[in-house]
Amino acid sequence: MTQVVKGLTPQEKKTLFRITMRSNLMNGSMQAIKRQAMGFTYALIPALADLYKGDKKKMAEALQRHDTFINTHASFGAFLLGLVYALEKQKAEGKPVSSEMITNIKASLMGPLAGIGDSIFHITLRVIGAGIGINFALEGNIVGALIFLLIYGGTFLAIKYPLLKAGYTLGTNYLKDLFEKGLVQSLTKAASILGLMMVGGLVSSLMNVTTPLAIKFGETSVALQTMLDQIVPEALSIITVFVVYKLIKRKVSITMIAFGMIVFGIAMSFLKIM
Amino acid sequence: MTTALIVAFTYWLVYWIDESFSWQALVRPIVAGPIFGLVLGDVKTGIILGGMLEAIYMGVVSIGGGAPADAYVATALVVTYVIQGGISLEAGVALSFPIGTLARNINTLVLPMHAYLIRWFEKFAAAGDYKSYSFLQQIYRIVFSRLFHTIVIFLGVWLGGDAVVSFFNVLPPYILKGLTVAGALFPAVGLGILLTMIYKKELTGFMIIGFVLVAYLGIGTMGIALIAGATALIFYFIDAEKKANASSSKGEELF
Repeated sequence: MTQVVKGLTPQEKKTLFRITMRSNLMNGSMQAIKRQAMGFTYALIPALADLYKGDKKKMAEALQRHDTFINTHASFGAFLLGLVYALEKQKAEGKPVSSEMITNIKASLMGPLAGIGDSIFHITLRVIGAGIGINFALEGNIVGALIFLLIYGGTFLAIKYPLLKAGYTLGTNYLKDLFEKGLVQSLTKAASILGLMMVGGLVSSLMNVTTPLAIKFGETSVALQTMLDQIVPEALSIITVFVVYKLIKRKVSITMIAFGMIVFGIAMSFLKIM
Repeated sequence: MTTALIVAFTYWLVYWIDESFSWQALVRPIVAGPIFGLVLGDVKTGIILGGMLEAIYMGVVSIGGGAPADAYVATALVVTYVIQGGISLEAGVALSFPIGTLARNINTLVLPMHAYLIRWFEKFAAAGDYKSYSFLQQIYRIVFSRLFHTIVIFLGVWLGGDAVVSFFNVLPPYILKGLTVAGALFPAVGLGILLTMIYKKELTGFMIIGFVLVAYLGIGTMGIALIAGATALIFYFIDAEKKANASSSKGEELF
């Protein structure tokens, strides 16, 4: 491990530093559709510019590969940026890293990284920082705000570069080993399995589509949602994802889908169906 | 009018600085309170109110995106109402509930605009034009990400607290409820896009397993990551072994 850390070229170090700086904008352009897609791509651009310089077609493929839904922790996501940089590098060098494999690795790691990041920062450090800070603030002391910024905000910024570097070295070492043994095909398949399992879980954890409808049986009424939950919980969520997936496949524009959802939501709530 | 402009500008500027670090630190009530207090000429009230609001909104944090209330908009308006409108601290805190929950719906309302702007990014990506992509990222986050929130802050200060609350009381409740329903549907778009890239018919079973683990058994993200990781590992080694056997048997044939 130490050997490889030593082995980072000045160019790699420079690129890693530039990615760290740009990763500060991970949440920039955040919206409910692709979440941090643009922030992630923006952060990765120094690496892509290095790797695909002068090849517009490959550059376009790489940009499109990353300009897609990602939802992770703005600070812990740096690890993923480092790992993806390593993958892109192998791909650019002509190793058999498929586009799909990169997407799958992103899809499977974004959730756990967000989970770790959220529990460390949003839940632990933020609550500690606010808990100490509030006592000062209620007395009218500005120290409260500063303590909060230091405990939560300071650590948030400090861990980015180390995590990015860890992701990059880990990716480079491990992948090199795999290429030598010729096991990338197996890894691609494993990544697909991992990615799809995680997305299956995300459908349930990110979405919560329910209905307040009740069915009357004479005197008693039974909530439809309770019945649905006993058959397939989150059934409406998975149906929604499936319908949207089909719409996107049929080239319905995302603007139309988003607009349609608002109209649909208001109509459903007017009819008291949802 | 001047106050409204100052508060709205401060709102935008502080958000911009905070977002430059993807921080969610300056926009927390405990920090934002003193800042709005400062621009309105009463830091002490800002600090105290910030502390009071933080105590309430401490549990309100956007994990995975969907926060139940917009603590930052609430802080901006409530601090202004207390310092300028002379209402009590407690009344201000009480007012922060309707304001925070209403402000959350701004994100839902402006989503079609975001969906439209996303296409510009896609166009630059398809052209391999990373410079324009980076430039658009900057413009987008500076101009568009909080444009409507800033306008709402401006109007909220300009019209005053009573007007804002009574306006939303006039709205039929199903409109706001409908926006919440739409908000619950939105993650499907991102997941749908992701699926168009990674979905494979022959591996549907694994997606169902992932869904079942969370929906039926309620396993958390880390738990499912470990299970998915273990499953992937098993298949990886089976596959790798198959390959090793295949190549070694090939070797036997040769000799």
